Amino acid sequence: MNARLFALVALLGAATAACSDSAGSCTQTQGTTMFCAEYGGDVSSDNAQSSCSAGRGTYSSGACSTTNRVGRCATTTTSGGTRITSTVSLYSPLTDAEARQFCTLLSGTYTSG
Amino acid sequence: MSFARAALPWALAAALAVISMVSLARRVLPPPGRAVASTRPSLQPSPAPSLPRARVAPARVDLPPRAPLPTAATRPLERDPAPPAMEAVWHRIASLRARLDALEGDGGEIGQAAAAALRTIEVPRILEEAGISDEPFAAHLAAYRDAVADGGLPDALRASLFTDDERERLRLLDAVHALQRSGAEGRADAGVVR
Repeated sequence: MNARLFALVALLGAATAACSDSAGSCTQTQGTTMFCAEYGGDVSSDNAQSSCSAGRGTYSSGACSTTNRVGRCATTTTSGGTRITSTVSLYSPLTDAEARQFCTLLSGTYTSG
Repeated sequence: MSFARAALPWALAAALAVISMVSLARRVLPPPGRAVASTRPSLQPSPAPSLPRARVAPARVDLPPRAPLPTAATRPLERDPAPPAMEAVWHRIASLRARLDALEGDGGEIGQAAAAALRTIEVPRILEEAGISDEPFAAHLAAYRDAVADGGLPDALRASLFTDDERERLRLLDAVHALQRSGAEGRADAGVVR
């Protein structure tokens, strides 16, 4: 019975991973500004990981943390004729106004919280 | 008598065949003393024999000597046309470079952080669009840098190290790596791979 349950959970986990199109996220700190970028679109985890390392960031295969998050910035770009949206989470001690300024510089759409 | 009657049709047939062959030969073969090429009737009147005829040299077309086909060793590197997909990637790199310069030129910490975020988001996308993965080319790039160090190599030798496609991707990867370095450092390092 336990083996069946384990197999079912593993199957669900694999299906969830297969359905997810995220290539993970990268958390970086610049001075007192901490942010986490989630890769949108069809980006391989290898390229995401190597570019995150090049920026001295910490790569995660999962989504960005919501702890101490001040706001989120959604940026859209066009790649190969396809519009791709990436989300950058911003964390305290950044203020909401600073996070909004950050998003304005990226030409993104800001959401508090 | 019977022999003459029997042979008469054969004699007539032979005579007709000979006449047909002679007639056909007259049509096809030129008459004696005329060149084969002049069998067609000329529409132009022949010039008067009393007037001196200016000698016109036959038109002569001098073709330039055929240039040797370019090979990997003789083709100039700078003139390699980039495939359309790569041109789009180069455009994307230039666009990102301009945005990074603008953000970093702001001077503030927020601008620096925004530039770092832009790099983080855009660089892997550029690599995907170029169809290259960072890791397999890292060793190539290191070898290439070593090869062009100390004044570089002659173009012919440098061209023989990689195919056109590999060189284009190496140039692109080098430009992407330059993007990942901030500010003036990145701009100074760009263009090492030529």
